Order: sequence, then C-alpha cells, then structure tokens
Amino acid sequence: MEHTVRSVAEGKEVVLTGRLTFADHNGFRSIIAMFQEPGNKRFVLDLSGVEFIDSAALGMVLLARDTAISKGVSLILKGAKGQVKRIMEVAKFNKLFAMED
Amino acid sequence: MTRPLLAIAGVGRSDVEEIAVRNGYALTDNLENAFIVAAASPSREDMLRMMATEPPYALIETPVPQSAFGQRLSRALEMRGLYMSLSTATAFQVDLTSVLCSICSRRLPMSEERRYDIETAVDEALSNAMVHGNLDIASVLRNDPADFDLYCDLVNERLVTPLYATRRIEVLATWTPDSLDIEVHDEGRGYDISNFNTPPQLEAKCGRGFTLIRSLASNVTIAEHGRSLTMSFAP
Repeated sequence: MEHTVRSVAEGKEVVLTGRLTFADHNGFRSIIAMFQEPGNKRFVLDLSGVEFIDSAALGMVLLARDTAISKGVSLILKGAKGQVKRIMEVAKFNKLFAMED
Repeated sequence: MTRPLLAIAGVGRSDVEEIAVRNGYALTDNLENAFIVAAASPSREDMLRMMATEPPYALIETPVPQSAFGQRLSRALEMRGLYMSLSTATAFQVDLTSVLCSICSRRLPMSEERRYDIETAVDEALSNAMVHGNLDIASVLRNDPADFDLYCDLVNERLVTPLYATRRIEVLATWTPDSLDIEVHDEGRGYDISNFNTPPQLEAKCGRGFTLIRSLASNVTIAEHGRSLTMSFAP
C-alpha cells in the first residue's frame, strides 16, 4: 500500500493505492496518527486506487473510525470499487461509514 | 534411472547438495526441466520469473528444511500443481498471496471474479497462518486503537526474530477440471476451530477472516490442530 496526503477544506484527504492487507500495519499506523493532529474536522480515505483489501485491513479502517470518533473527526470512504467494494458490502460498511462514489 | 532435477538459484551448491541427494534429486544450475527450485531469500520478482513456466512445480527457500520433502511436495509433483515453502519473513515481504495467485492464474486461466474470490480467501488463510500462527500474535491486539501500536511493534519485532521469522509457511495448490484446492500450512501453536463459529459483529476489528473463507470456498478442511487449512474452489 502507498498513500499520499493532501489538504482539503476542514481536513485531509488520504489517497491509498495498491493492495491493503495485514502486511500494511505500519502504513495504517501513520494514517491513524494523522487523526490525532489538531485542526482536522473531516478525513477522506480515497480508495479508488486500491485494487485489493483483506479483513485485517478492514479492521484497521475500523480502528481509524474509532480514533476519528474519539477526536470528533468525520471519516468518509470514497471511491471503493471491484473487490474492495464487494468486501465492504459483505462487511456492511455502509452502516458504519459515510461512503461516496 | 534419471533422477529428477532440483535447480539452485543464488545458493551455493554445497548448501543444498546433501539434502537434495538424500531425497533423491540431482542438482542443476539450469531452471529448465527442474521440478524444484531452491532459492535464497527470493524476491517477488525472482519468484514470478522462476515460476513463469512449468515445470518447476515447487519453490523452496533455503536453508531447505527436511520438512519440505513431505506429502505436500509429493502431491504437487504428482498433480503438476504448485508447492512453496518459505520463511515467514519472506512470505510477508513478497506478499505471498499475490505471488501465489499470479502463478496459479497463469497456469490455470480463470475469470477475474474467480481470481478475486480465491485471492481473498487465500489472503485470509495466509494472514491467519503468518500473524496468528507463526508470529504467534493474538488478533485481540487489533481491537483497540490504544493497542494497535503494540500490535505493530510486535509484528515488526517478530519479523526479525529468528525464532518466529524462520518458521515455515507452506502452500500447496493442485487443480483438476472440477476443483482448485489450496492448502496453507504453518508451524504455530494451532487453534480451536470452535472459536470461529460465531459470526463477527458489525464493528469487530478481527474475526472476519474465517467467515469470509467459508463464504468463498466450496469446501474448507482444517487439520493438524488448526495448522493446516485446505480450501476448495469450484470452477
């Protein structure tokens, strides 16, 4: 997994690319750490460049959600497609996250 | 009788010769016609290149353990399937799921949808085998953001601790017109399958893997006290 960060209105957008799996714990740790920074009200995870995700990575996205809630930050998942969209549907992520196309 | 060939890649002849000969193989430096490749710390690109054509039917990371010359290797050779025996550190580094599925889909053409189903299930099995099995790290550490740093540190530390990092991950893929079977084997302490019969809760950070495997595979068999998991996929 690779990620780049850009500032957007009231927060940040993190663009993820590649495969998101159990082996990406260090990358997720740095993303979750960004939630701790003051001044962000909104975080967007752009998943449109992600080709594959596993259940451990879903768990890490849920950890990001817990952290966002505790910091009063809204977390939006954007652009999931293919296998990523399918797995997120199975996990019923639409009930937990604001999801955008 | 001509002995089957075992090719060496980036390895000293003397490092492999004794165990190869003991198991009935003749050594060669040439990959062509070799049934097995023994390679030192192979990269992802090395693996895809060495296994681009068939044979070979097996890739074993050195030092080659005697455990690699077991039933799984025999079955791969007999069925013209694919067997790999790698250290946990290497399997983690190369993204073994994607390497295995790339090689399999080259040898057994399949639709993109089937490939993703298989890849998803294999990834869950390998994730369990590597993290919970060989690295011996409990998934409960991924439940809470406060514990996640500890989880990351533990994974990083154990991937460079020989006791854990050198434990083997073995995978065996065999196929017929009716089924593709993939077995994942680890050297961890095993687990109790009855723990996995409860569907995960909506917000659970872990425990979805086995449910996913069961929903994607047509049959799942667990053996060796949870150290071996075999998934069958219908055509």
